Amino acid sequence: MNDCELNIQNLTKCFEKGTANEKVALDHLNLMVPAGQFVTVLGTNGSGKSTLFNAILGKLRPDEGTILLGGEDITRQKDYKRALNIGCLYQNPLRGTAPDMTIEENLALAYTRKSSRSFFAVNRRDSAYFRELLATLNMGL
Amino acid sequence: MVLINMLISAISQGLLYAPMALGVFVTFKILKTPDLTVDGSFVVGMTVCAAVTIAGYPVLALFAALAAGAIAGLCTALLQTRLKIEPILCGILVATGLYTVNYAVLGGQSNLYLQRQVMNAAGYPVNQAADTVYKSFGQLLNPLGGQWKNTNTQVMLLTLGIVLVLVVLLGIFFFTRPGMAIRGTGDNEEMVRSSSINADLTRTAGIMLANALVAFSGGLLCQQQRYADLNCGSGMLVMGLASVIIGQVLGGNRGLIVGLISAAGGSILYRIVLQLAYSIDLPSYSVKLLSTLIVIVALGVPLLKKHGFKLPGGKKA
Ligand SMILES: Nc1ncnc2c1ncn2[C@@H]1O[C@H](COP(=O)(O)OP(=O)(O)OP(=O)(O)O)[C@@H](O)[C@H]1O
Ligand SMILES: [Mg+2]
Repeated sequence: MNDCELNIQNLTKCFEKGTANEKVALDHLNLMVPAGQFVTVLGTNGSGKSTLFNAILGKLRPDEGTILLGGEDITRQKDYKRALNIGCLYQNPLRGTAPDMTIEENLALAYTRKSSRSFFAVNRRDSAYFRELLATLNMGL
Repeated sequence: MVLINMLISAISQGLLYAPMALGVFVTFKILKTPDLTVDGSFVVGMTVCAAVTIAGYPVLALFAALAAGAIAGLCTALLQTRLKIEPILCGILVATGLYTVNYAVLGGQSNLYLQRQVMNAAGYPVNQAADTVYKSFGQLLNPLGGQWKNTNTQVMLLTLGIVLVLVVLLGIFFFTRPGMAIRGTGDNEEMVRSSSINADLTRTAGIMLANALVAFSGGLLCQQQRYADLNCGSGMLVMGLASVIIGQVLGGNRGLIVGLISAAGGSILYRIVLQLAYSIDLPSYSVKLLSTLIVIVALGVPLLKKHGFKLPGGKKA
């Protein structure tokens, strides 16, 4: 049980507590995902899927519960720190891209966390890697 | 000859204000957040530069201006990122607070000439002009004679050199990792955060850089005109914005390097436009209204165009 990659215990999030609009989006949720597992979360509108992912990504603070990633408690960790090990693809691609920058710069920016430390953001080694990956898409990029 | 001198003087003015336009470009176009610290940080650059210049270190004074501007930017950035105060209000708060700081740096007076008292041979105190970078540069060029001896030409050449170096350095910086992270922060902060970059930090760095540039401009102007004045800062943001917008109209939306050059070029063109306005006998106090109109027209035109096109478009449908 402790060797689960993602281990969520008692996660609770209540919006607008104490008002007429009070909404318990997550109610003591437990979730354990072993390494290598592919998981799909299904639910009706408003059932709390986005709330769960936002809590994992650190976009919102849960009221209760803990989130462990690879054995490390990340419940209170800043969102950009956990992003080192969590990737996220948004429903709306505009949310995950910078419109005023070139495709190469977008890739370089997104690749910042794992890339080699170079002076210029766009460097030859990373560019070659991006080119290789893009070629597999056959989009002429 | 008169015309050429007027042109040279306008270009010099434009170059002196070019770092300020570059600073405004960094906040408005790169971070895409209006920063009203500018009116205060320009003067803080001026006053700090004046104090250090009078102490006898004209070159150090320009770096002191840079540093003072960066600190002003840091204050604004902390208000924005830590206290989550509205960016516009942050700038107004810091600029207002800076007024007191600037007053104090000038020793409790509203302006200060770059001179100090020395005893002459007869033992009487006389005012002696403090050394400035422009004075030293002038001494270097004077032996060449002719047009080289013209003060306006000297100011133009030295400032042109400084601005070119700035543009090149900025151009390089914005393609490095930290520089690109700052650009990304303005473009899509959420993406930057999910790329595991501390966006608060990059935003802070961007605002500090912008205000350092603005204050540097204040420092240059102070050494050129040989005095610092607390009132020099008012309306500075609108002038910077007007320069950036004029630059954008000419340079178009063609990437960062063109953007930087356009902002500096826009500052020069803006001063030429003002010079023309004066030459048709508009009073010098019309500057601010003129700048305001330029900004309003430039910001309003896209919307007006849209409405203009909507009417016939609507009929067709
Ligand atoms: N910021 C918020 N303030 C108040 N209520 C919220 C907030 N965010 C979400 N909620 C409420 O919490 C509940 C869960 O919302 P959530 O967005 O997590 O659902 P979801 O499963 O992602 O739905 P969908 O399938 O529509 O995307 C909903 O009832 C929603 O109205
Ligand atoms: Mg959702």
